[in-house]
Amino acid sequence: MIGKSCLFAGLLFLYGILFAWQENIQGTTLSRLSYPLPLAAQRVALGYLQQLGAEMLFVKASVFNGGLESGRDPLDYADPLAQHFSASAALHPQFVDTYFLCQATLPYINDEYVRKANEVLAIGTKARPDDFIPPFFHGFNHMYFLNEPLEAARIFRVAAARPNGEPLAHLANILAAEGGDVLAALLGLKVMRAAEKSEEMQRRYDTEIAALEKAVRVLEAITLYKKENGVPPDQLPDLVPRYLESLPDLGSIFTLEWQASHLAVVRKVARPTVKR
Amino acid sequence: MINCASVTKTYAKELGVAAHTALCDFSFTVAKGETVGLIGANGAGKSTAIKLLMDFIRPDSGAIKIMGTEPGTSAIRAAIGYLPETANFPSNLTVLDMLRFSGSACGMERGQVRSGSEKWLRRLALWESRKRPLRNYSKGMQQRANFAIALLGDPELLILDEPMSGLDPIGRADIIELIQELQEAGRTILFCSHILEDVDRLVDRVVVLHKGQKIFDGKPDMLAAGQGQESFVEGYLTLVRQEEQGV
Amino acid sequence: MSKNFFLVRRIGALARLVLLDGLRRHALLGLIVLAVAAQGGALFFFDFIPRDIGRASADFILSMAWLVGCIFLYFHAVQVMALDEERKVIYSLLARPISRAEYVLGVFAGLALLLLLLNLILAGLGYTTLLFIKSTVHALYFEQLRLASYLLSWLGLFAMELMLLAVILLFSGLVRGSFPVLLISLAYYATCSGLPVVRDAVQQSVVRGEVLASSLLPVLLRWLTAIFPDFARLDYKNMIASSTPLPGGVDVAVNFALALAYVVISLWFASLVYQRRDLQ
Repeated sequence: MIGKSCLFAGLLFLYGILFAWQENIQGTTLSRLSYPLPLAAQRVALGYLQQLGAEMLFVKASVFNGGLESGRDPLDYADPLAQHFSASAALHPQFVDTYFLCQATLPYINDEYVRKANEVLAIGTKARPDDFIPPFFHGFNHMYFLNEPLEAARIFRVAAARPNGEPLAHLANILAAEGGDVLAALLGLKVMRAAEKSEEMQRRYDTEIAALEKAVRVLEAITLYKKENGVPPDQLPDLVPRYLESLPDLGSIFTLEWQASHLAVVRKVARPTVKR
Repeated sequence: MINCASVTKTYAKELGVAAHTALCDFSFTVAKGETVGLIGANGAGKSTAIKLLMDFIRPDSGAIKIMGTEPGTSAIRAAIGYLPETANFPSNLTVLDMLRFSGSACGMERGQVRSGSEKWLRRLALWESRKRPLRNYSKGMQQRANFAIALLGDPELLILDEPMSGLDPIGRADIIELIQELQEAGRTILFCSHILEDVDRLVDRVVVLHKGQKIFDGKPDMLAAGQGQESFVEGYLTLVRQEEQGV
Repeated sequence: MSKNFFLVRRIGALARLVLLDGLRRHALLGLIVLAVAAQGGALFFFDFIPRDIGRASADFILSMAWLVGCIFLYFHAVQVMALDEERKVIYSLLARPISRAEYVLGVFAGLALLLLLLNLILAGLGYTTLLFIKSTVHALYFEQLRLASYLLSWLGLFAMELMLLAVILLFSGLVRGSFPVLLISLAYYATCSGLPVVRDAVQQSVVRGEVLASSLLPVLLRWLTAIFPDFARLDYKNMIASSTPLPGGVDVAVNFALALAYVVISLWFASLVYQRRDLQ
């Protein structure tokens, strides 16, 4: 009896030693984020539990993200993290937290992950037709991280058409002008001006419309230049004086820039630099 | 009451088990009010015959009629009291649950079920344990519970598969007494048993099966006399040995 | 009294036995305790969700109910007919004037009643849990709790469970033993879950022009869905806490009518199969 008790105590002690050893060697799994199963396999295995599965993926990614030690190279975990978001969004496209966490993490890694975040956000844009947040994030990424104002403008227009997203219409028009689609921006601003009731906003729109109308005249001059010379001008002053009396002053808000064969109406306010 | 004509039943081949003929060209009858014993060694075909009568299995050929109807007609089972060889119940139920089910299935009124249940449970000494789960019953108690279920509604025909199985001598004597009471009440009884003394005591007629074939049908004393023996048991043993030796 | 009255009475008598046997089974009582504990888990789960708390909590509650329902179906329901036969209980039951079809229907009705009871308990508890969670968080994170959507979701869940149950009874008639029934039933469910994934993949090939829409594969997959139904069509839990409009009445009616027809046809087949079987 005593012998058996001693043997049992010894076994328990051995188990404790091995457990402590394992813990010391391998630590917790918090610092590692494993890849999720392939999406198709998850859909088959989860069935009715698909939504809960998506939420668990989110929780896993969220807990991992919350426990990240500072200074860690994001490329260590970027790929499984992106796959967690992709799988979560595909399994439960209506679940909004995936998009918030995705937006808060992936775009700050590098441009490749901005595009991956945008793929996830595109799912949310489609699945949540009354929510302006996913297209807002999506448009923001094109504007801020990728410097693609025209694409940002297109997506912001989608966001602007949704409840509470109306203010984004103005930004969409400004970005369209920056991206070279001056006529669309002008039309958009005129529509907003017609619907606006606040006098202060009306004055602001009037100023912007006046600036864009001047830019349109420059565009017409460029078109004429191209027609006569077969190529666009090298620089805007080439238009003066034959095609334009002088280059217009667009006022305090905008300035004209001739960028890679398109005319951009750019805000004078310096754009914040991307921080990663 | 029961009419079996040239019934053959072969169990189909299954994984690891070869096909075999359990009954071959088997014919017998049971008249109203008669008590018939179906006897034979293990594998002789007794249980197969009873399962055919109860429509648990279907014959390959031949015809079976019970009270002029085919066994597949479920309504006739209201007039049949069946006692299975091994008493098994859903483990969490009580005998009262089973009696209520039995009564409802037979179309009995609630009051009839209540009075009938009390009558048979008291007669079979199960009244005190009527609310205990059947899984806690001893084998003998389960057999008596099965009797109560079979007898509820006073069926005209009783088909009893090994009614004395698992009973102690007192229980056995009690069941014999019960069967005798049922005989006196004019019930038609078909039963099979290994205990030949009981068969001899109770039956009007015996049907002996051997390897799926009927080898005797008649009164027990005729079997003894036919084999030149003094008792039914010795007569049966002689007959079976002769069959074994192919005489 | 009419013939149908006695038919219903016979089925009801057997259903009552199955119900009582289930209610008194300790394992099933344990399952209810587990289910209640799992539902309570929603109170911890929502702590991990920063924004979409209403949706995640509703998903959790319905998912737990589905898990419990599956445990009931795959650990209890698959055994009922098989064990009746293995333990020869079937002889005691069919010795009464009950046809094989009535036996199948009685077992189905009894198990369906048990499932209904389980779902009623869990639905009531789940709704209380959701109300509690809603009262503890800002309205922004739990915009609404629509009772109509909640009830529709439970109805959908129950319809799915009944479809699985009917198929399990069909398999119970086709093969002997509870373990083969379990394996076949699991394979059936995996096929039901997998088929929409395969259909999606093939549909993408059709969109890309790699496969013709009229070719054999897409058509075959569509018709296979009639046999292995897409349960997601009865999944309404996503609407409980969202403001998205409820689906059209016709859509809902078609989905439930199809589920009902599926159950009836499966039980019909189960009865036919069982009718022809030797109960050795």
